[in-house]
Amino acid sequence: MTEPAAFAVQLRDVWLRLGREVILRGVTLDVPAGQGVTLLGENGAGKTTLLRLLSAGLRPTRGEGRVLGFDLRDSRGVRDAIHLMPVDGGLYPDLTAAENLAFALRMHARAGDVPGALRRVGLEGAATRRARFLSAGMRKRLALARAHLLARPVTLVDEPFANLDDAGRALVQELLLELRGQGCSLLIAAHEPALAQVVAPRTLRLAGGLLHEEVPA
Amino acid sequence: MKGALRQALTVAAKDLRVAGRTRDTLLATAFFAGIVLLVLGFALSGGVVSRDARLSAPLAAGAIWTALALAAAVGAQRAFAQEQEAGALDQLLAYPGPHGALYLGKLLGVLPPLLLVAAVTVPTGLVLFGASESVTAAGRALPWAALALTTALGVLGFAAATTFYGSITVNLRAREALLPALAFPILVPAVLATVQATRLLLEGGWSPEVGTWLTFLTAFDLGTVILATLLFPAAVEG
Repeated sequence: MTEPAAFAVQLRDVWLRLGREVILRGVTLDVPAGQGVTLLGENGAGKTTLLRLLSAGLRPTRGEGRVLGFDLRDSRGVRDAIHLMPVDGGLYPDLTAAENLAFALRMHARAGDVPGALRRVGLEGAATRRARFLSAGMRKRLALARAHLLARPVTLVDEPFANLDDAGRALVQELLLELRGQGCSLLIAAHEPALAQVVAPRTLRLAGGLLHEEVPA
Repeated sequence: MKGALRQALTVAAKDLRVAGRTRDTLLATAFFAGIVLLVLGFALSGGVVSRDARLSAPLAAGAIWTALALAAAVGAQRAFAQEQEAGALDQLLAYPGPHGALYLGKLLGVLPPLLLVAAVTVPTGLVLFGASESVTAAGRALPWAALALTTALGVLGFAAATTFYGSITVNLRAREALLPALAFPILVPAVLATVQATRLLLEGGWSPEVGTWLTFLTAFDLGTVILATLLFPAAVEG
């Protein structure tokens, strides 16, 4: 492999099998540090699974991969560098919006401006409301606020535009662009190529376990 | 090490906050322990309270620890199940730091509700099965301090093992059925030690034999916590 620090993600002939199903079939990928990548694919194509693999939640069956130079099998090293924003937000329904953000910060041993982060996504009025009483769109904004607050070098975002109105989608683009502006690498799995490509112009499509580069027309 | 401890305390504080709001673990374990005591109370004592410690002590010890072992299994399996139900398990496992700290945090989070249930179950069981009356009739005071120590060590042992197995079975559909099947063979030493120590305490108070059983129980607890902390990363990372 080439100079590891120059790349956010490097995959070499990565295969992933879950049970009897083969999800990835020899995926090879180089994502330079700071680059934004949009990951497209039909439902069930394996986009979320690929993000989980990159967050060290799954281990490749075969092949090699690195995230910021850390081998995917070195779970601890990879987890130091990444943040995964899952499609359902991964929030605790019985913690308030502010408590959810504070918990994430403490787990990263970091301090941060929780009220400011909530204000940034328009949730300052819901700071003391439990996540279970937030709408799907508000939960998405809260998960986005967490990703923005943590600003990990590699941020993996699953379906950021789902359940959001136009203003929410614009806010997602704005916050993700700010993350890129801070030098974070973004991998965005989405079904809205036009929206995602504003933030992450490089586009890849996952189909049949294979990853193809999509060249703009 | 300091970072791992801070992370464990963060997870425990989060779980305790959630448990305080939902009370689902507390209610489920208390209800379970209460039902077991009630059923065994009706079935074994037949409403007749024995004043003979040799009869009431084994009965009370067996019933109390049946209730607490099952309640601990129910409570500890919620530790990871609630993460999965919230859709936050992947997120939790993706945080930086050693995964062993997550296990310790989860264990610390389930212990207070379980100890609270035990604090009610033990005296209730002693009264229900006539053990408190038989000890008093023999002219002795109930060895509360030793009983509290036995209870704390026993609950820790049961919770440590079931929390670990709860993490392994959390992604399985039949986790409620598999968890006891996997955990209970490992819990046999803790069952033996807790029941024997409680019985001996009720029959004759503190004795060297009680000390031996409690030393054995402490060794079991330490061994389980250390082994589970070391094996937990392998269990969740696959």
